Amino acid sequence: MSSAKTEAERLARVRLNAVACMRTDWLLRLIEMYGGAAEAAEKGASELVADGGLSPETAENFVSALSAFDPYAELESARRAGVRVLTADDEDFPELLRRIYDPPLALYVKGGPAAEAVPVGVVGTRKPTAYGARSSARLARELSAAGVTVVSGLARGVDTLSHEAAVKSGGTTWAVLGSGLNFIYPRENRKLSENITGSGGAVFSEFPMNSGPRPANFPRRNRIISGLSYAVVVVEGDFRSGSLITARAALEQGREVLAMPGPADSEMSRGPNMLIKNGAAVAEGAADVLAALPAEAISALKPSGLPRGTGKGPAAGLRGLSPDARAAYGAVSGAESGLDMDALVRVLGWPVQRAAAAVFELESEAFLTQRAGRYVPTV
Amino acid sequence: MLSKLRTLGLKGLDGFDVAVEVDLAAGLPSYSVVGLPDASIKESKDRIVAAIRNSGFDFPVKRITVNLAPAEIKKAGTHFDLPMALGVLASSGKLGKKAARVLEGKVFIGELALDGSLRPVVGVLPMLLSLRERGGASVVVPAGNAAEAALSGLDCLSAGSLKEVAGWLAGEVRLTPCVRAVRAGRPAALGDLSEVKDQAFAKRALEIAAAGSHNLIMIGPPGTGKSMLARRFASILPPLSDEEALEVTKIYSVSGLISPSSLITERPFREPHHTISDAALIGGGPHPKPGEVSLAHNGVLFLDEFTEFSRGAIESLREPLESWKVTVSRVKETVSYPARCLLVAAMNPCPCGYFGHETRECSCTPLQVHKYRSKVSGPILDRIDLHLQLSPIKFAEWEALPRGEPSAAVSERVAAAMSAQKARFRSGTRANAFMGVSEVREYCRIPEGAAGILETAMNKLGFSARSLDKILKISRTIADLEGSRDLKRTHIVEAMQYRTLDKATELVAG
Repeated sequence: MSSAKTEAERLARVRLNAVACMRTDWLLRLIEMYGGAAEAAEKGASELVADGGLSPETAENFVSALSAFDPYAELESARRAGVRVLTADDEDFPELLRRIYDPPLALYVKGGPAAEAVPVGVVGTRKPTAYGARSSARLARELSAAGVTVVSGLARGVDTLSHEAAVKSGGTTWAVLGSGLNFIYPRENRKLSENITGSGGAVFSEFPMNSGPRPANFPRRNRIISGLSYAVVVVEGDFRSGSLITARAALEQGREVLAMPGPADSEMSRGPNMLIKNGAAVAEGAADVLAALPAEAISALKPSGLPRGTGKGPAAGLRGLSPDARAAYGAVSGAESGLDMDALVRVLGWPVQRAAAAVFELESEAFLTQRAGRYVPTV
Repeated sequence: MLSKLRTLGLKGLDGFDVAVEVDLAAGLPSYSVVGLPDASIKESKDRIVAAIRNSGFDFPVKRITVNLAPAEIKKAGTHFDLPMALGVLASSGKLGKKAARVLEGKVFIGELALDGSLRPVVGVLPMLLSLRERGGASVVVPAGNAAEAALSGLDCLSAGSLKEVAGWLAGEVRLTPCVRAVRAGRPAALGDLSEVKDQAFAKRALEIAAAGSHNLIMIGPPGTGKSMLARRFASILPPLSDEEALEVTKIYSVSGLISPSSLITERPFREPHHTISDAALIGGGPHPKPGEVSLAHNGVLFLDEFTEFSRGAIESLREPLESWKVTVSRVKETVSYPARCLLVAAMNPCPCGYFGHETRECSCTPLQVHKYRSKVSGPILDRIDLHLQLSPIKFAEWEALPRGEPSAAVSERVAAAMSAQKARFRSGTRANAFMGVSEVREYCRIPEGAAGILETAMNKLGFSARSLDKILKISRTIADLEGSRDLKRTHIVEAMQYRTLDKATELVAG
């Protein structure tokens, strides 16, 4: 193909990709049928009805949406934001994603996805319990140390905690958005998205630069999370959780699905525990995940070293602390959802000053964090 | 014929002398009052006419002019009734010759009822205290204000009716001297701290707030005892001194809130509803009246549902919290009222109230929580030293818990810490919360062996730099409560527990 032809094809794909009313697999079918995206994009409504089997109404909508979209402005907007727009023909288009049944026609990327990355999805509920928060962060930390790229959706909860833990422990992480890259959602994660691209990771979206976070975008986004990854780990989520959609997509794409087991009496454990019952592999930690990866992925891994406390739990680090601090840590970690100062003072039977000193020691050594007034073990 | 007598006017909490001049002249019958009287004085004509007739006198059918001097100061209040009525009677010669001499130099205060009896009026105490500063005089007040007038220390007489006063001027009747009511023992506050079981940390925070005059904000889901704690806060402050009691009584007198006219000996506790207007909160109105902050002078101002107050109301608290007074400016006058109160604010952690709750799920998005909290961020939060986060108490646990320490015991420690501050700042009104930068440097030296502690606080615990000074001020109060001259490491570490809103991790749900 000449470069002019390639460019026209690329523009056509960006245009087709921007039409929200059509599913990607339909678009791919049209492209195949007409022998190229450029050709498909030129067809009138009547042809699409005759050849493509679309209803006249859909075809009309499709054609008018297509002509309303300006691909040059879109590419210019991406260029200004430092975003590359990849299509399946580009060399940089992630190889694993190319292999799925319905890869996006255009993939917007900010930051640099390294070709040699070993991506694994870590997904879960937006409202994790203390256990889920702790576990997702630990998993992301361990995976990062093993050289795995943590892929998630930048949503609140498990997604955010996983990205954060990966960035903090020096790993790379990829975020896949359900909105355009000019519209980072949720808003409070804008800083996190900068940290992700700033630390060698990348932020992806298949939606045009300025699209908002429409609810319908998120299931589509989930197939990209799993499509980018060798395996997907579900940390917490109830039956309705979007993370189960990701797990289903992963199965359809032939990717490994793992689940982090949770307490049996917690709503948030129902999703992952159901997956385990249905045959998903149990992921207690990074070792289980690594064991599930294909050989090509294992050989590409470049471990950066084990993070502090892996496998030993925090107990090992506690030995250097004062007896008061150890007692306070025991009290806090023994409580289901942490303790506030009032409760801590009651449980320990100490004056406030003594408890404060113990807590200060634990906090400065990063064993405890205070959240919404309660002390919880650091995740 | 002309007659002259004295009364008093009130501007804010300051009284000033007013001369009442009444002139009777031949001509068309009329009655006019000059000297910037407000509506309450102008309409007094009808009361005066009826009161004079019903006291057994004839109202003179003359051209009557009443002048209130100094004529350029605005005057308001119903207490001008009595002096004006006496002026009319004296001018018409109804009181006899002797009366004119007796009237001279006497000060009269009182509102007339239509039957000629005297009604109590507002602001008697501040007027008389100002009069006393200027040298004093003998005063006649309504019987209903007798006990209040006695507090001023002036020789006062009280009368029940216009007729009685007239009889006294004629030398026929004796008036009752005002006597001070016996000061009662400490009145029962709104509950005792011993009724708060458990919550040792919360009670400790209250003690520190009281000792160092630190303003306090309580954050917690509904049912965590925020109001219960706040209502008992005044009970751990030391009893009002005589001087403080007089200050408070003055303000209540002007507001007409004084109970049967005696000294207020209880620390004020004011709890305005969050729908309060800005003017009602800090003071205002056409003749500026004290607002809730002034009514809480020398006591506690409790603002429950702090975020529900209008932004204007919250912002208007800045002046009183900073300078301990409120200045209300009008085109014609500027009035200022004292407002040295401790602010206790309470709020939910988020719009639904259950953010960080142990068992109930919070239905707010992080953005909502952030917006909710930002209502109190910035300048106001900067004037609140102590942050106290509360969690719900399980009833099953609560039943079994023993009663806590009584307020009186806590109050003694607070008083001791206050006198330590008095000695340090050489002034009764300064407290640790109001230390400037140089004073913090002088009195809050970081002890040896704790040099890195603030750095750790910033880097590891996520405190902002601006919170460090606050931590040191709180530490100073903790040291004062302990009777320690120097700051110790443990004081600073404890102080950090009361600045949780500064922590970077605060908004992340567990």
